[in-house]
Amino acid sequence: MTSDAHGHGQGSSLDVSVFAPAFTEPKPFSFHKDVTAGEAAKLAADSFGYQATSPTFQKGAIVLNRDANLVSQGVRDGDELQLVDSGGGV
Amino acid sequence: MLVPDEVARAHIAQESAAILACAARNGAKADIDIDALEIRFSFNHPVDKLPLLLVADVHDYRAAPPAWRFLDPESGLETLQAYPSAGNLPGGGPSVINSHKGMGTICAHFNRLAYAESAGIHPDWAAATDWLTTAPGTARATNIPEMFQLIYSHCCYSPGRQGV
Repeated sequence: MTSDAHGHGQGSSLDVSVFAPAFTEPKPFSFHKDVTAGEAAKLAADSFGYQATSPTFQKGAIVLNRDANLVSQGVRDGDELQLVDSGGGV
Repeated sequence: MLVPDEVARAHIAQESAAILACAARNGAKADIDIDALEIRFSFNHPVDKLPLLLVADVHDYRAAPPAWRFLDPESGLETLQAYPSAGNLPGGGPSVINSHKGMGTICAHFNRLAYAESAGIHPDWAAATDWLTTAPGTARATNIPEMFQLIYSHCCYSPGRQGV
């Protein structure tokens, strides 16, 4: 599964496994390295049917800032990411 | 009682595998007591490293959301210090962990205790049975694994305990 058509296998993409909370198995995604965490997480959330208000990823115990790109937040090929809604409480 | 216990049990049974998997991915332990309609999540606070016990009372699920509480792992009682203090996610909105009337609370549409009918933090939220459409634009969770993941992620950014 790819987020878009460019770059897979050419060094400009990140191949990661994404878990959604309500699923036991991950899905593979290939994201362009310049994509923000929010943009990538939205694509992944839509794929799972996860209706998060502000989807982002959690890597380990680190929740990624939706406005920064994946690489700058330490995401690397082969990483396992979890979807979470970073929208706030009220 | 909004729905027979057997209905709630059927919903929990359907989500059980995902509940266990989601907890395990986050280094937490989930115990599902299907007879008591209670789910207990155990994990450690990120700062003091001491145990947290997050409990969901899932009677009436999914006609109403669970009642979420942090309990003292030793006494089993709801105490202020059993609750993590609030910390915001990077780039995210206010924490779903809050306090109300001298006790901690989970301030989210998926907590039955946040609603007016439970004398909760949101008197403007009338009926817990409307939980799937309450408070649009805030953090959403429509099943137990999504709820746990959201609360857990906020716990990861908690600087300490409430009332300390």
